[in-house]
Amino acid sequence: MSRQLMKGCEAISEAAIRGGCRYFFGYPITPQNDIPEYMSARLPEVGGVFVQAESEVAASNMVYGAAGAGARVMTSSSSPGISLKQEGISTIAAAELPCVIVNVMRGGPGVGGIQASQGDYFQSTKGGGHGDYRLICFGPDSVQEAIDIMYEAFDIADRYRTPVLMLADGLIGQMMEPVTMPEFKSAAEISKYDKPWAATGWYEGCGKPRAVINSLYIEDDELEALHERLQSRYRQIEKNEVRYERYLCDDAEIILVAYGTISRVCRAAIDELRERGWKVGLLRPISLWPFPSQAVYQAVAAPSVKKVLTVEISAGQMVEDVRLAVNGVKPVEFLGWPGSRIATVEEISAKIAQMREG
Amino acid sequence: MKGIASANAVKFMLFFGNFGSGKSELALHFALRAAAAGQPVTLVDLDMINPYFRVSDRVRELSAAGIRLIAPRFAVSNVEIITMNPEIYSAFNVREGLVVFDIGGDANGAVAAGQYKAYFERIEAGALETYLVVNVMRPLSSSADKVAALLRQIEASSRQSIRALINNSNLSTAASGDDLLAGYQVLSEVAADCGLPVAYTSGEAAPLAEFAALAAARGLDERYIGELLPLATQMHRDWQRFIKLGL
Repeated sequence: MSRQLMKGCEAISEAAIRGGCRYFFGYPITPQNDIPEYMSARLPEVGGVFVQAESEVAASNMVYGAAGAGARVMTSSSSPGISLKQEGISTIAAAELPCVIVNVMRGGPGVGGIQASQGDYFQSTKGGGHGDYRLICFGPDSVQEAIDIMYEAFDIADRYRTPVLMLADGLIGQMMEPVTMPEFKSAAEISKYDKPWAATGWYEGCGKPRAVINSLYIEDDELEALHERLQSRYRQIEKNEVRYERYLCDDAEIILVAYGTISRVCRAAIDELRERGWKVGLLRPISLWPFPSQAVYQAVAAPSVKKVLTVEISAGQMVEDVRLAVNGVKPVEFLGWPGSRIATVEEISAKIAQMREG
Repeated sequence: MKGIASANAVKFMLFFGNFGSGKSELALHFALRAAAAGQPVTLVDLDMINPYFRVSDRVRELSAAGIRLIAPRFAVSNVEIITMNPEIYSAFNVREGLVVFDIGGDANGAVAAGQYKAYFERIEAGALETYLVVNVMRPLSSSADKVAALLRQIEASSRQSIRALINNSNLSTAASGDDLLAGYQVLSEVAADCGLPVAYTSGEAAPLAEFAALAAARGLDERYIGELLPLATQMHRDWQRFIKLGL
């Protein structure tokens, strides 16, 4: 397949379709508008359905309905819109339904601004809605990685009967990069996960039990049984779905931890500092939940490592998971600002210089 | 400056195209080039559809070059629904130099130009140049059929006739002469079918030189190449080193 120049939002949409998504329910908000725009034109071409819902809450409940019928379905929004969807997302998690949600993050809190941000890490990885549930959450650093994740996300959602959240910062959604798009998944690949639980119609003598999609558990022990299923799945996810990239960590004295667009700036800083002979590396989480805690620990526990620096486009959110992973074996520092201010190569290099002296 | 021949004291250039075709890049190129040659230049940011990646991002460079920028109110801010600055009407009264319009992407973006039809009609004959900028590496411009459809849609929504094509095909950071060659193949078909000239083949110096060598080796038809126009990229953001100007 030849390379094309694609914007992140377009690429995310096309990759979802090629991964089997045929239903999209959403509501406009910048900077993710290019996703519903693309889907509205493209889904009818592949026999799919696009609906612009009356609100974000409605869109997330439409996702609940389509997922309950066993369809490959997604929604997308940007930060304030994702907040509005949380009621539906919690319900989808409770009903054990697979779907994919894309958040193209902008600055918050509240309505915030339309520039890029990573301020929704807490919301995404710690449960944005109520109740004891988790979302599998990925944070790509390029348009190509966003494609690769979207292409696989529906499989992962089906495998664990759980929503998958693609957490793209506004830059990933809006930047254009040369990419290679994968081929369409075959019908057999798309339907490889049996969905006996799906509500696809029932009649007397059809030979299967009625499918009931529900998030209300009248009896306490039923709710407990749900939690047992969820928690056991989450342990499996923690075991199987951790993703990260190590960059020049082997001899590093200072290890940076960063995800998404800002990790690219960190990498550029590392390349410059390596030319000066400074031993700096990067551990880049790709799965944000499950967080690559063990990989972070292993990287920083190496005797050569003196300090750890987390860089984010936020006031400091992922840094809490980094500190838990590092577990006090090395000092962890943070560089970042709330809103949409993005650290430059010079600022990261200056911070590292200061850490080397301190 | 070549392109569509003009003997007038003032020239108006309108750049239409698909999102990501390079409209803003070409608009900046012509504006900066004319300003460097001492011409009075007005640049109109008529992108009413995308809050990001607009010529107004380069306000500092434009001001330093002595170029007058007419931009929508609240361009380059957190306002998503911007309104055009009434100062735009003064652009139609310019009598000398160059006036460049950078128009929003696709047919939806071209709508913004449509409301000024009456003003464009008053421009003296030969002084108005309308270009479709094409990057065939973008999915919606990847074939002759798609480019021809885009051309018709843009003409309808902008109420303008496109007079010439520009081959600005590139894969951004991975641009090569092959991209421009792919653009040549698509645009030679579009140009022949629609009866339009290819005014320019543009790109960064290295891919443009690669294309020139390919064109010479293969004996490509010069009618579908036009003038080779080297561009010093202004709009692309370096995602590795990052930026100072928002998205």
